[in-house]
Amino acid sequence: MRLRRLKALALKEVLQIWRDPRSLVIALLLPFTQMFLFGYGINLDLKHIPICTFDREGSQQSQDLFKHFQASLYFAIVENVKTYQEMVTALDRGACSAGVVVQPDFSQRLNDTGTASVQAILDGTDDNTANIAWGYAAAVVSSYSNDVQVAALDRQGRTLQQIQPLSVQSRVWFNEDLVSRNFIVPGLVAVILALVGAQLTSLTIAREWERGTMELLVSTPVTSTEVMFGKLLPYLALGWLDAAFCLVMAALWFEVPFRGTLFALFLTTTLFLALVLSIGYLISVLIHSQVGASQIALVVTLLPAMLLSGYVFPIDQMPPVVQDLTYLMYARYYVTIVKALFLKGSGIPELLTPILFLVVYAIAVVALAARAFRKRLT
Amino acid sequence: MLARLLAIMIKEFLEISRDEAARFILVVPPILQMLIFGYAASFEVYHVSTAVLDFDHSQESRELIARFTASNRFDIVKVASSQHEINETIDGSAAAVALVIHAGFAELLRKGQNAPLQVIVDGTNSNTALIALGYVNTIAEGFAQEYATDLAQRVQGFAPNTGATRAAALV
Repeated sequence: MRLRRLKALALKEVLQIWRDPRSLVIALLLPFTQMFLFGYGINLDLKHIPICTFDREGSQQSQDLFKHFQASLYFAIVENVKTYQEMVTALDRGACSAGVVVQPDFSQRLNDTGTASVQAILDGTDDNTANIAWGYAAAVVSSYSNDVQVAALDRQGRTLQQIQPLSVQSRVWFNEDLVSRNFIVPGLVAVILALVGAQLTSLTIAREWERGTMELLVSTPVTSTEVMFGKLLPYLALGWLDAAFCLVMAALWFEVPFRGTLFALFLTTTLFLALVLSIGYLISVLIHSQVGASQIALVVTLLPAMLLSGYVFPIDQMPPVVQDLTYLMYARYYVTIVKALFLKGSGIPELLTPILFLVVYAIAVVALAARAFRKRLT
Repeated sequence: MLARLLAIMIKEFLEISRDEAARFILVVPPILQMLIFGYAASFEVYHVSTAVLDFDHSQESRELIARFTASNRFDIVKVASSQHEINETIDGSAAAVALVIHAGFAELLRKGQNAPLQVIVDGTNSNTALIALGYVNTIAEGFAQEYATDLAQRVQGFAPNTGATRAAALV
């Protein structure tokens, strides 16, 4: 490999990119729109879950309980229904995602036996929301329960200390306020780079075929390895630009705390870019039309990167077979790395495993691409 | 009009049935994608990797930990012997939840005082963390309730009817 030839090839590619604005549009517009669309579009934080209340008793106690729900930030009472039928209709048309029912003997049971139940009806269509809403509802009821206990004990002149044996003191690390954006946005950067990177280079060889410049390239006295690296280098520069843009946006616009080192970020990002660009290049070598190559690049990267990388859906909750498949989805390694760099402030030593996977993957793809591209016209 | 429409439709079907690539694309990718992504896209939280640090080594602390082991929501992957080890486990993502029981836990319980269970959660994935915390609370509450009833029975010889065991439960 000669540096002079490499430079010449890279320069040629830069000129080609400049004259065909398609790849420039992909490089500059796609990350921008995707960051906004998905950064705001995906939000798992639940606040003001709409609930319906059905007070079958109408007592002081039942109203007190509903006041607890009203006061909670997580619930908003949108409707007070009078019959079960009304509640079913409200749930059916999606007016509320949960219903809270107080039975007619609520306060009586509370006074007589010391225990009473509250019924919660949850719309399980979205099981995640239902699950979290259930947790919040249990917390609200338990805080109400506490108040009742304190009041009951007050009358007897005792204190709560004697009764509540165990308290959970929880501390959340890395994402202290449990903001879902803080874990989605860094993963999003990885998904966007996987998508855009493969798109960019998927056009490069196919373009030579469609423009009829393949003959020229074949007759140029350069090796196919030089062609590959010469073509990849300008895109690496574009990739850096995209990565910098996305990462700066994550840190400044979406205000995700960045606790790692810039050096580790630069190193791992470059490695990941090298990998995704080579994958696009490999697709480009195999498929001779620009549209076809771009389509394949989209199919291969978009859904797998979204669903199998651990970007939103945790990998350790997937069935074992699917978990094995995720090792093939190279974005998962970079998702792990970026999340750890942003939220945990991990260094290179802690991230050695995903980095090694990326290195092996990159070498394999580069070797495959180098073998696949033969300077031949048929 | 209908006859022409029909003719074109038949022609199109014939074309697809003769095109091997089209037949493949129509059948295989959708099935594969439904299978893989259908299983991948899940927010359920089971078998959360959990580290345990028990300074108390009492019957009570073991009972509490056993409740976590018994539920399918938590898997104990690490029994640590120091706070430092716990920190390392969470930092290195080997466990997402850590339970720390300090010395004197059982004593506080027996005296009828408030005993703390310290829980550390890796909040990186806020959704999983939130749901896991909910399960921690549920298990801890179950333990507390049972213990309170037990204690009351031992002290007073009968279950108390003070309106104080648990006022309202969510069903």
